[in-house]
Amino acid sequence: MSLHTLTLRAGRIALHSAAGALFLAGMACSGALDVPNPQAFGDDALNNPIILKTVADGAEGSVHQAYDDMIQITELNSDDMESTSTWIDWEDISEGRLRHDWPTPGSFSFPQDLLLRARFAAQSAKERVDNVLGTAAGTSPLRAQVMLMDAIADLLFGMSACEGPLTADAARSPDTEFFKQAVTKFTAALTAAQAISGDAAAKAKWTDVAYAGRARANLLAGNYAAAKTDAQAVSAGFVYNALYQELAQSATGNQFHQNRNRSGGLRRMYHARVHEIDPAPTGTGEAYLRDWFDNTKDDKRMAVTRKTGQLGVNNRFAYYGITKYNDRNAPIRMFSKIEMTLIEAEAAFRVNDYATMTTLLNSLRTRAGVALPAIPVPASAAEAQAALLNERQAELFVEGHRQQDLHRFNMVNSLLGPGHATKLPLSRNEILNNANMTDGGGACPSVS
Amino acid sequence: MYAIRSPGQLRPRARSVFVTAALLLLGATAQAQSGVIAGTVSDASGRGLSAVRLQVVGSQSLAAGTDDRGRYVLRNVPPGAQVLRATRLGYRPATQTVTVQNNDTARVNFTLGESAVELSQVVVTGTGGAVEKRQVGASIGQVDAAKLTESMAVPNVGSMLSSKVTGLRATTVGGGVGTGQDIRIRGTASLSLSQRPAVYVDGVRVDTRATEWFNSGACCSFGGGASTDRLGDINPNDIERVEVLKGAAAATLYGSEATNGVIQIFTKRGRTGERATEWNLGVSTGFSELRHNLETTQFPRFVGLPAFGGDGTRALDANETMIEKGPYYGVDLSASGGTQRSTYFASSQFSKEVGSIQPNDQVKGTLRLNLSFAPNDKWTIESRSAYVRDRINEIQAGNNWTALLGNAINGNPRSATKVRPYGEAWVPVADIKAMTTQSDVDRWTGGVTLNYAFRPNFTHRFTVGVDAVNDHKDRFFPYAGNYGPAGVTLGQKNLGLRNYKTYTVDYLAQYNFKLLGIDHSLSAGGQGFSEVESLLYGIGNTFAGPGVNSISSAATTSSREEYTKTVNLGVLAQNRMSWRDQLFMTVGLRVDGNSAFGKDYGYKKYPKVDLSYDMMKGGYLPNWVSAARVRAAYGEAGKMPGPFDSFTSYASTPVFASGIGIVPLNPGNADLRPEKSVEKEVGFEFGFLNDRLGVEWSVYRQTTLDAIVQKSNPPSAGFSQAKRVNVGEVRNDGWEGSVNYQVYASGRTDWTTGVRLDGNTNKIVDLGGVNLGNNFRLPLKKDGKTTYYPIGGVWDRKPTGFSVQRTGTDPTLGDCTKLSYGCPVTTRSDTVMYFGPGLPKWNASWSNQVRYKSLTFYGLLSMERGAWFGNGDRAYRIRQGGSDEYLQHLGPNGERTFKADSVAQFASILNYNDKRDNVRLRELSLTWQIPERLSSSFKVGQTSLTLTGQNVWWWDDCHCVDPNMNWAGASSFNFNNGFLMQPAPRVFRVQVRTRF
Repeated sequence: MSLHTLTLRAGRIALHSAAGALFLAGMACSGALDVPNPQAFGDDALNNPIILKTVADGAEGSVHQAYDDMIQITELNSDDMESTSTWIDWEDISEGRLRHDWPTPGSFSFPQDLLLRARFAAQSAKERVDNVLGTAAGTSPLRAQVMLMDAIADLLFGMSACEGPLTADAARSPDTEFFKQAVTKFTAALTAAQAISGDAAAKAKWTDVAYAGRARANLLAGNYAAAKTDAQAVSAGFVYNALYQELAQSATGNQFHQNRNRSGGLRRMYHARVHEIDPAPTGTGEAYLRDWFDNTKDDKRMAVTRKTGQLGVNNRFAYYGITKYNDRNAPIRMFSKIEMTLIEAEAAFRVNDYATMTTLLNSLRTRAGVALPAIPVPASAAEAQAALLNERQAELFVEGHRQQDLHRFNMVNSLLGPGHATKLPLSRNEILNNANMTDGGGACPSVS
Repeated sequence: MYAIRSPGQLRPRARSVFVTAALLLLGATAQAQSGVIAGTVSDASGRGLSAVRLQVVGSQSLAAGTDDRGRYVLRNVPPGAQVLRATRLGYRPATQTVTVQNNDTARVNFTLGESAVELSQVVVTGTGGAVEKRQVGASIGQVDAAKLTESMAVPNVGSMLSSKVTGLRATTVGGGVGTGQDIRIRGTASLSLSQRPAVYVDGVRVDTRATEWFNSGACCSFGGGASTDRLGDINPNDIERVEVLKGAAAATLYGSEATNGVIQIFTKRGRTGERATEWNLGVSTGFSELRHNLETTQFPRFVGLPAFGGDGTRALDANETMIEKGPYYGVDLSASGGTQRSTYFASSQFSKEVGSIQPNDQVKGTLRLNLSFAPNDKWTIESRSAYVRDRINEIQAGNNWTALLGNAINGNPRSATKVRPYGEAWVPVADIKAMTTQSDVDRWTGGVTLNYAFRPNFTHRFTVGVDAVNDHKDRFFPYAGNYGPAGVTLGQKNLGLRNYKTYTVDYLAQYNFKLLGIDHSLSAGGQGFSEVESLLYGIGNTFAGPGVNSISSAATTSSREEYTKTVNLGVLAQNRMSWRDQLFMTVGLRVDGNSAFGKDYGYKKYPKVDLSYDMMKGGYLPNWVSAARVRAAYGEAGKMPGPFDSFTSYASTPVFASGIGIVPLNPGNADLRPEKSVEKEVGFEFGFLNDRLGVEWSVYRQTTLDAIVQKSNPPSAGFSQAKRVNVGEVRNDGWEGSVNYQVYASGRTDWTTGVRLDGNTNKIVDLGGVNLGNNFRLPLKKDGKTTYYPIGGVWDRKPTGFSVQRTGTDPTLGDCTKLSYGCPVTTRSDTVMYFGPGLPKWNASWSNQVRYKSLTFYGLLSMERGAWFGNGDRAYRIRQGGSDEYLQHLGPNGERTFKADSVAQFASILNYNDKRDNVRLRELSLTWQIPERLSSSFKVGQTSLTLTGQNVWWWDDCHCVDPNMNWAGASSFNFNNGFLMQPAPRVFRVQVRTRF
């Protein structure tokens, strides 16, 4: 075969082969490789006034979603609840074994991750609201909504973990800095809420949330007078709930209510205080903790479900379920005027005004639905503190406050014994993926 | 004239409609001046050999196959001297020259000797056209499926491959009927992507999903992770052979989905030259049964105690009450035949299989019609079509509140009640059995291939095909069952619809020529596929009462939809050069574009080159060496990202009581590109003693560059999904070897034995600065030495000490002062430590086939060593207060003891991590070839009776039900945890197979 013939044949081959190749390449060039994703929004698609409300609701919903999980895990680390599960990580939390830079993510990381992501979502949403609405953003309820979520995420994170990043990808800062930052953010959000125009209901709602949030942030930051002022500014009867629906069930939230399973229940130290009204299996299991002050009275604020003989999943401890959230749709109270009353009471306690404190506490104890006897004015600071904390435990039962209360009043040792973690360490997922953190660089939580 | 007909082959019109239609459609074309070649092909013992391919050298269309008696006929052979070649997998090819006279029959008989070396077999997968194996420098595995199904009742494709190809590991990870096998080739080559090889059937890409599909936001994982495997839809009896491309060097021409290798399944075809239909009927029955090794033998010692919530009921041992013999019935029938220019193969199969843990059963029916037609010497048209209906009552298993065994073996016998006789911790077994979980699949796979020989040395092949799967799933919780832990109180109905389609287009031109004394085979073409998957879910919750089971009759309803699509288009070119038929070199290139690549990334190029040297042609080897070849290969292949991984996206999420919100989901990566695996491989094959002894060896290094790492954002930076970045590097170093030896062969007896060995060391080389946590560790450099860790290595805390504590309290054991023996306390390390890799360091198998007269015995023993797994069940059972491991140490009346407390305390703070090491008697069969004088009296042809056992027994040391269990499903990335999976049963079957 001559080289000329071969060249001709090679050309023919090339023609035939190229026909198929070109067909495929042509398809590629004509957009065959452009495949849209119909189930998610791109970044640009959200820069649309029509969709902006949903973006803001996404941020708020994320905070709600995280709240349930944050409660579960922090209560396990407090004296409200204990693990009755077979999960080692729950047991580690419940026994207070967690230390700084814990080697596994465990259950405690996830709620923190949700809170931090919710904060990012809120900040990202604010930026989008400002960009899309322009000058109109200043009076939009959406702006106040997302700014408040940013602040609430900081507040809840500070209550949950002993340290964390104050901004995206930032280095570690102690929980106390979170409360300070939350005060700043609530102040800005309050301004935004008060600037809302054209929607009086939203203005009232977000203004109350801003005052209530700042009141708690100030309290935890040690600004008691400011906390009192904010608490008093909150409208009577105010309540702001985290709202849930079946489909949005959170990771640990679906374990929380007593119908779910027996993985976490009332801590054993309180079992003796339980009064079984209608024992199961024949009855409903209705039961309440006796009032801390008058042990002949049931404290309806601390309802549990007790089935005679029932053990936790671990088959070791008697199981007392938490009745407060009896299904996955149950709202969880985030801020309320009741909490504001407790904050006012604490502000009075901090200035040794036990009479005012007692008056405020009794206003809660004697109200309809609770109907407990009034307590006398404490004779000492210790008694006053006990009264305040007992009332906070009852009113805010499994609402995520107890870990922080035990920590700030230095009561972990006396209630849970020595060697118990006072708060939760920082999420391992944050430590590993944050460019400004090193694994092993943590020094908290403190241990009782 | 030589007639090839058996007694039952004379009435084709009476057979079946489709065969008649095929014959009418594909009638022989007019004949010119020609002659006939006919004869028989037999083995050394004189038995006729089926499935031998006879081909006139130099002609594409002058080919025929032997029937079950080894007979063949080749018509329309041009007069003159012709060279006829006979080939069959597992036998040495033979060639004879014959002179054909016009209108006359030339008789040519062949005797083929078994061969332990398969260098002369023709392979087509990833080679740019049909080529002898000895010319390819990369490693290609082959399985003679037709031969296997003759001697065994093969349950599925996975078991057909298991321990048959070195470097390929197929293990049953969930034992319910219809559940799948984890199939991996040469280790793990990715840090995040599924490791299941791409699978093609006759050139058409097919669905290989074997993990549960579910939406956690919607409702459910229907079977709890014990998902059905779509590879199980393929009728094993339809398969002629399987080719396995083991790595990037062999699979380069498959481009962006070939890193994990490619499995191509070739289904049976009719054989040209036959005049009558050849029927093949198989009838089988048998049963499957779990081993009775569940850790509940102590349960009947205990009655339910009030202190544990029990009511005095004596607890049940799941070994005695849960495990049943699940019956199996199957029948398959095929018809094949052809004329000189057309062939047909039609088959059907029907089977019903019941699981050992019930309810769980599968009813499956398959139909196949493969046709080919060669209107002239230039054109050949082939069409293949298969339909499957596969209905499964799925097992409730896996990490699942309603796992049947999970509840029956993980409870506390002292909690036993009438309702919960196993002390079930979550949902009573009786309530789970009242549930229904069904999967109903309609699947059609088909393709058409056009072959056009522009000139004898210039051919074109064009294939189009589709695999379409419609899967309907539903799960039903009856009203008012005890499903509380599963979040169901007053009944629930879940529906899922999966619609999957993959379209394949493939074109290849091949031109053979000679230049400067070197033979060239130049190939060029393109290949593309489109894969679309749509998932729909519906949920109905809370019924008003019993008697209804539809979503619309529930109080609250909701639905979800998921959709993915991937398009891949590639072009390829390759030249294979041959010098004096002894030195071969191939160079090739594939270029891919893919919809999953980032928008700023262009096309991906994958080059390859391989060398093969046939040492027999040199004439310098001693006579006792009958085959010798050395080879080397270098090739690159890719693994595409997930369909929408490169997109920046925000997701809708339900919020509040009835609202919707949008949250950041995926940060995206516009530069995302496929993972690139670079493989270097060298090896050799030697044959000795006239190919009675064959030795094969390969060593490879496959380095995955641009491995996609899921770089999680710190939660403080939002996006819940990780950003996929091409920053990782993974290395797999391995070796594979096999020795096949025909120990003895005579007319009465023969014995063949084979050993296969392979080893793999997986190393994470680089993670691009990303810390992926415990299972993905960077190399540790210490004292001048570098220690590498594998993907999916098992890391956990280890025990550090043991003491008896006589004061204080222990969280598990309580007040230590009240225990006469004190509290036995094990302490644990503060940090996690390394146990070992998740996959075996080496695998071995040993097969033997012994024939004595008409009896053939076959056995396969396999072994795995070096793998670890999180034996989650073990600690979990103890924490619940169950498990023989704990209960056996309790006193006669259930009293706590030092040993029992030691076990309980250990399990309360530590997980168990155990070795997967095992030796498994994987396959046993005994076949009796019924004497022809007996079978012919029943008017049937070759007939055999086979007894088969699979997964018959195994030896391990893991305190587990089966060391191969994996909780995440067969095609999932994760492989190092066996939590709550259903173990694989032992399978026993009897099969009668006959031809007529």
